[in-house]
Amino acid sequence: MSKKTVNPSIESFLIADKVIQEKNTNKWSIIGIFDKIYTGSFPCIHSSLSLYIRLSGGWGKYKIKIEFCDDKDRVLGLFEGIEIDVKDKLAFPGFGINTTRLQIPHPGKYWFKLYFNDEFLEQFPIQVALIEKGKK
Amino acid sequence: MTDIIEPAIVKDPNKVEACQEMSKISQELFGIRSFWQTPGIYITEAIKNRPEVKYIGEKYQEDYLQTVIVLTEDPEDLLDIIFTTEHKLYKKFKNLRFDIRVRVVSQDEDISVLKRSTAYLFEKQI
Repeated sequence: MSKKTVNPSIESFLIADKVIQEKNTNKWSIIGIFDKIYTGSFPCIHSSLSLYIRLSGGWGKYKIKIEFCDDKDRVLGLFEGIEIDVKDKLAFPGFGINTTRLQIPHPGKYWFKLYFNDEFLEQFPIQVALIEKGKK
Repeated sequence: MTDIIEPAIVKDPNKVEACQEMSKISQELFGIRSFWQTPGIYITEAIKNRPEVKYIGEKYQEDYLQTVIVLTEDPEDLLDIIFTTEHKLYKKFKNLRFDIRVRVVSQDEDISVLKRSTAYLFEKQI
């Protein structure tokens, strides 16, 4: 029999160059936090983008999906397969993922949309712009 | 808080492998792959082991995403896999216009024109 889940709140959502979890202590290191991407041309591929997500108030097993959408709500990329089990409602579980090959077709505002057990929970923006010549 | 990236075209499969290796730590927790799934990635996963597949690439056109698949033969069962997979992807990639272009070439034909992709997803090693 499956136990009933309580949807969590998102305490933190960070976009960074890299997230690392130390094996002995389980501590997370989040390196190079950013909220804007500049590139010399479009379409482009971001070769290494990491996400760190910290939850609160959840309880139960979750299948997490992250959609990368543009401002027209088109799903351009999907990240699936993350499963977590929160056993303590008072805990603040966090997890990090290191992703590669995020295709970005044009400048503008994009969204990371979080789904827990196929239910939309929250979305977070990122701005992508063209580098102006000589301003790099 | 900005991140500057060079115009990035993934052409070197070894470079992709290196990125995946770097991402190993976190993905070990979930046993999942590190790259963002796109229609072309799903199709690549479905057909990459078939000997007829020579190249798969993906490119953003003006307002849609194009997946180019180059085959050396086009048996019916392979085309079925491609278009059944495509059909399943409409639900996953809501609102995204994408199109799949299949080209059949001879074994030794030069396909450099067809390989003008943003992302190289698969190329048969000779």
